[in-house]
Amino acid sequence: MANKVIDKALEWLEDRTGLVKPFIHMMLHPVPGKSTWAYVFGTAIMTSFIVQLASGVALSTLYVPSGSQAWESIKWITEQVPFGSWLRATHYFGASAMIIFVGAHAIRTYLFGSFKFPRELNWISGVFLLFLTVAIAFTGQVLRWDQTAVWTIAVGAEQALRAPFVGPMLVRVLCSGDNVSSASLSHFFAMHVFIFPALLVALIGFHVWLVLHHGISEPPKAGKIVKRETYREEYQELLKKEGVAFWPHAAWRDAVFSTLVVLGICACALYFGPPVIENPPDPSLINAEPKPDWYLTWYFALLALVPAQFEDWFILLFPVFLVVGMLTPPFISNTGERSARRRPWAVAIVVVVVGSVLALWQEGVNEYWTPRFEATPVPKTAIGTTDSDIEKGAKVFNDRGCLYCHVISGHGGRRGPDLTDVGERLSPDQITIRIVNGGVNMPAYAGNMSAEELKQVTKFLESRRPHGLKTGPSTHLLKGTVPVDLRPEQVIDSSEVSGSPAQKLPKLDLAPAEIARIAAIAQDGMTEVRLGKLAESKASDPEVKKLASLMVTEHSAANEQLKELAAGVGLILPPDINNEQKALIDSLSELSGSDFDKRYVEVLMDAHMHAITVFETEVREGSGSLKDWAKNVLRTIKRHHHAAMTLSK
Amino acid sequence: MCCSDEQPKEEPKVAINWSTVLISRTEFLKLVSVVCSGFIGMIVAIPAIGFAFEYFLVPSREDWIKVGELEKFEPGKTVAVVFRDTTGLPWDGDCAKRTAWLRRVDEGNFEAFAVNCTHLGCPVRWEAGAELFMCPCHGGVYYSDGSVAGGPPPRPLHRYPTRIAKGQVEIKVGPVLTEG
Repeated sequence: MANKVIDKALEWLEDRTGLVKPFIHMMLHPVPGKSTWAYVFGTAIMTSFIVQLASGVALSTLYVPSGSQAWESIKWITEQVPFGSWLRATHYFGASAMIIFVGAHAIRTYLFGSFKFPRELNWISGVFLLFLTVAIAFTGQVLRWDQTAVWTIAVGAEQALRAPFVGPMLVRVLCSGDNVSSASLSHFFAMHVFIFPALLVALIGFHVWLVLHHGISEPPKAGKIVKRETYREEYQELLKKEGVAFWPHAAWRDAVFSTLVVLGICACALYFGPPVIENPPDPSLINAEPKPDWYLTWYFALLALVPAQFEDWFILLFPVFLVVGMLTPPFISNTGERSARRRPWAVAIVVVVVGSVLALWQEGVNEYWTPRFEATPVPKTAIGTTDSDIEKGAKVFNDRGCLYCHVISGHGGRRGPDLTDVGERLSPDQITIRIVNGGVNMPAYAGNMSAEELKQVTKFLESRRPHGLKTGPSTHLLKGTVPVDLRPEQVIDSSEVSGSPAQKLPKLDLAPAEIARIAAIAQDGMTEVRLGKLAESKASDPEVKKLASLMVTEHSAANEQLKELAAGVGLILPPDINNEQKALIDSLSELSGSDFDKRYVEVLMDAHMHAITVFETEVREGSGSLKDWAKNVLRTIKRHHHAAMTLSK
Repeated sequence: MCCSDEQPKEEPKVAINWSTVLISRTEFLKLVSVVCSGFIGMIVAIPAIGFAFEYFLVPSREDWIKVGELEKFEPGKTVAVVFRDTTGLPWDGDCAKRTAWLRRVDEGNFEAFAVNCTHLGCPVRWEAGAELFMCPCHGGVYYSDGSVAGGPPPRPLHRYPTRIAKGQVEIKVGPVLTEG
């Protein structure tokens, strides 16, 4: 009886809407019988998205997208409103689930070759869905409107600013104005709750329509080739032979897996709770450490690790590379083998990409490039002595921020080298020079430390010898250069400055940046002479030989001048070239004949190209006699560069 | 799956046949419909887009902002000064607050730096002990004069122009990040 009523009602509905039959047709459409658990990720995304829609719409009923009130409204939602904390937590973990399963779904379809003919547009719409998912997650993070959110916009803007020509325009789009303000929040709100969800729903509709239109791709078999002419027929035959109705023979797996997903979201929500709303969105509070949510940690790490000279290009081109890279598979091979067993490159790409993201993610969690402001001082037990100078040196090490970047006996940051056993590796002179002149990522402490402190901290570092070793002959490395540079009144001796312990080293009346620059120039100069001498003996082309001796003479002369000038202003120059430069010389000395000539000229060109920028900076920003010297030498450098360039042709 | 093999000869087309648009009633009606739809679309879209991107229609502003009395600042010391962004919205609340680093170089000279690291815009901290600005994000370091001391930053910290007017220190602030 009841069945009859329902049947009648459905019949009427079909007659008046025409929707019942297509619905039934859709539910019962045949799918390849052997589709397995690998096919459940798509519905997992849908399910998470439904969680997002429900929790998101609910949250929007109390959330206030106003610069002054958003933070408070979230606090209120979290602390005062029934289900508020729960909804926020599920909204966060629902987003996480979406991201995870979008990734899993992309990997599955890629490895199964499902993007091949005729499903190219399934893949392409899927790629846009992936980026849209990241975009919606990112805009959602901003809506938390806490300290991290406002700085996240600043970080995004600073990256956008690197784009040529349109940089400032992009910044205005990102901030919705000249600065982070309530307008930024409102614009992010509109994107997060209206624009992106609308696009997402439309694209999901298109994506699902394509899945139904072409049918779910059958599990690949090694050796079974996709051919444009025959694929559709073969697929239909397969469905006839071993197809099963989607409902319920495939749908049950989706239902079960989606239930697990929802349970997982709930479990995380229960266990971890909603993301913590920490400090208020007050950009004047600068003790902020903005970090993206977990799914972008790997990218954050990448930005920290990419070498500075490529950074501009990287920031601009990497996102383009990601989008283009993701879009290419169907354009590169949309026929042929689908099975991963016959597509080693596809497997390799997945392994490399997943491995890299995980490795970067790990790096991003550790964040060794960050100064550890909260590092605990090296304790007395680790100092291991009661020598008052050493103890004072340890205090300098703690107070002057050395600790933020260097570990000693487990205390401190990891931005720079571990100094636990530095006394066994470096001589006191080398330690002093490094502190005064700085290094690649290390500031030159010349202007920031008194002579007294420098002496103490050097003593402290020198005493870092956990294995009881002494530095080897390198202690004498500085002989010959040091006496010239360390003129009597600058020799670091506390007796001379004991009257005024806070006084800075008297000799350094130079901007710290210039000290570092001149030190680098000196090392470059020494490298040129050494390279030149090597080339004088090894080059085969007489022209190259001639150029090499020119390098030796002219750079030696320039080096001598620089040494004198440096001594005049009381600057300690590095006694020797750095390890990178040594490695370069070693690598060259292994070559011979025309290989050597070619490489030497290349090195000359690169080095002088680089030198031109450095010298130009010195001419622009330098001071006194050093600046004049740089102006003179710059002409020589340009001449050298030109000569090398002419030879290279 | 797809279409029937044979197509009827005079199947109606959606697209306009431009060669007959002024002589064929059908083609002309298509044109009328397209023009009307486009008109509606424009009427709806132009104000909406203009409103959403209104900030392109308003010129950027720079203002001299008082950050404190001259006597308050000790020579040789770098301190944080907090001020309000004058270009914001009335309901901005705390998110219109800004900080700059201000250093009194000597009696009459001040240097003011943006807090944004030139690497990725994170707020740099003045570490008085080390006399360095340090960035918590990727370890950028700057000397007290704002020049790069280490790490990834490509440029020195941005400087705001400073002046002293009627015993007050003022800094000139424009768009915080767009100084390039």
